[in-house]
Amino acid sequence: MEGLNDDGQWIILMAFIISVGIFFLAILINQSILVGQTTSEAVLEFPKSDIQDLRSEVWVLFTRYQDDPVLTDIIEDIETISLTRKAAIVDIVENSAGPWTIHYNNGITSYTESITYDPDNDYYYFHY
Amino acid sequence: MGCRRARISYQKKRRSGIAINDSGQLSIDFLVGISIFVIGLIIATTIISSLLIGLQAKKIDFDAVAYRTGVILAEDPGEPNTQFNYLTITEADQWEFVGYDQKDKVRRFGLTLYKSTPRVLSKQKITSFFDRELFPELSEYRNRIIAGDYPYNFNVSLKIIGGDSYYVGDTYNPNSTYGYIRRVVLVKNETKAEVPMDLFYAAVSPDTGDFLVNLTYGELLNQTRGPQYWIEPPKEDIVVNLTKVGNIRNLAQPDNVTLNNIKMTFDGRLLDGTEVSGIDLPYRSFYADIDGTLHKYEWPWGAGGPPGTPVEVLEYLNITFPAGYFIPPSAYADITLIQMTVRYEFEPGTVNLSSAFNSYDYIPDSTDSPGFTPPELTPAILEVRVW
Amino acid sequence: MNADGQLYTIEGVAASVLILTTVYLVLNTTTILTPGETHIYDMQLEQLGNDILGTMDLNQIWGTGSHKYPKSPLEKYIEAIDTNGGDLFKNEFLTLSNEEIVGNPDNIKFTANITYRDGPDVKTRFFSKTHDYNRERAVMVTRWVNVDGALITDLDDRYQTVLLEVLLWRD
Repeated sequence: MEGLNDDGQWIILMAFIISVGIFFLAILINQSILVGQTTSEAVLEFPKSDIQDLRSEVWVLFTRYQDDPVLTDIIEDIETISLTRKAAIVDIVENSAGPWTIHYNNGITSYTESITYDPDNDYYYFHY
Repeated sequence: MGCRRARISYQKKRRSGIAINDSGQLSIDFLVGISIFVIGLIIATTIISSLLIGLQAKKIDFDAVAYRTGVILAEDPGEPNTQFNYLTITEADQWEFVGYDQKDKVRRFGLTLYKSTPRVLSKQKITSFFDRELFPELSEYRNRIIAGDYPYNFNVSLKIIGGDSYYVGDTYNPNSTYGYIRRVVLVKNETKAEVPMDLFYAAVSPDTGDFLVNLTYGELLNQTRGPQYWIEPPKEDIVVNLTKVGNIRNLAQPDNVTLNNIKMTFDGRLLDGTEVSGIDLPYRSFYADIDGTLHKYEWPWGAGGPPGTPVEVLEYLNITFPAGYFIPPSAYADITLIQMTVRYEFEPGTVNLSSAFNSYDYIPDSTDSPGFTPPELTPAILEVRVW
Repeated sequence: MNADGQLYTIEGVAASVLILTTVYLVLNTTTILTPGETHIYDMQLEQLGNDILGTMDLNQIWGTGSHKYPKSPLEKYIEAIDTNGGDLFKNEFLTLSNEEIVGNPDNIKFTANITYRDGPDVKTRFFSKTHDYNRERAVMVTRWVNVDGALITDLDDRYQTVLLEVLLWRD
């Protein structure tokens, strides 16, 4: 073993340290991918459009079918189709002289809204 | 002689560590070392190739910021913004009416009418947002639509399909990478009434020859229609065009139509219960386009000077009240009980045909309001770029 | 010949190969579409689709006379599903989706179905399409639409709400 000449091994050692440093930087840059992935996944996962659509549809049903017996069937339509096609539980509680309530739950996000009713003016606070 | 040669050969052996000799074979040590090194390099290569996929993080961040800005502009009404059932609003309650001096009150831009009407934009908010005289610095936009410390460059463009285009921000290079979002929205236009004066009368003397245009807020803010379709005088443009003025019914000839004055009067109930009716209150000035010439009418109405000067009207009398004009004059008044009246004082008529027809009710879809154009919703494209 | 210097040469060559290979790998990544990146495109497309359906679901004006909420273009197209409603929907959808402010028009394709309730069952019916869907990367956007079932075959003869489902993709 005393015959081994280790004079030039510092070159390899330097190269090794530098490459380890480059790998480390690469790992750091790689973590930044999670930034974009998490942001867009979070956006896709939140049912913003579903909730806005549901509110808008409840408003249309309110103006057209308030106090009309067909309203029960229409609400049943929404609840059934939402459960089978959109995997979300929707519950709309209608009232002829009281507040309406909207419940929405797709397993990840839950939304509840109560539309208050002003009996003195016969006015529903749909708009805000 | 024999001893010296042995010494030399001994030294030679000691120095050559790798022992490259001329026989064309490398030493075992070297081969082992280099093989280990190469295998290690291959393993490192495999690991690296899985680590380095998708080094495009910067673009993903820009897309996320552009999406967020798009949501703020297209789905939020801005701050400050009054709730719809406001009792009273002042210019400082509504960000699009905050003037240059008070623009620090604008905390956030947003173009929709209300929180409950996403993607339906207000024309006045669009005009205020793209007004570079009101907000000359791009940093003022950056604070209010792109939150955060990083100084992003941005460009917001809006094109109304079949109408105008607006943009604000830095110019972008179409070939470079930037974050992008495109939104499709609706823009609510102004309300217009083209009143055919050949169906109406002016009041007779000794009255002042009035013709009234009544704006009853309670009827215009129609709850069944909702904010997308109702008419909201304080926040929207209101256009009142009188056409065929020369043919007002109870005035003898076209040349006799003389307009003495235009006044704004106010009916309503103050919060303390006091009923007020038909009173002139100090109010904002406005311009009337009479047969192509602009005339200014200002408070006090008709107290001498040009507003009180009679003007001859041959054809038309157009007034466009800009958004914010009809913000009620006094505080503490229930908005739904207010009626604003535009009172045109013509030279009194001479023939008393009927005084019941000297008023026009500015309400949509009524037989009493011919020539009425309710507000329309026009599609538009909003594009946000961030880089 | 003194071969001592070959030691350093070989060490040097090995070291430089190591560094160069590392740098080459780090800088020369190919643009592989990763799940993280495509989610952004999905998000943009989904937002656009929802915007367009929402825009088509508001009538341009209230209409004359006093009546309950006016029928939106989307409701009229679906009620005309047996005749030309699908084509009208397709034209308007493509106009709104492919319009850009500057630059070349976009290139979005879709297929659309409506889903309705029949007693306890939920059934689907074809509505409109530009091309058949063939495993492209697509997003689904939906809209509730209130229609008069009497005007549509297969549906119950009552006012009901159906779900319009549109699958969108870019080529």
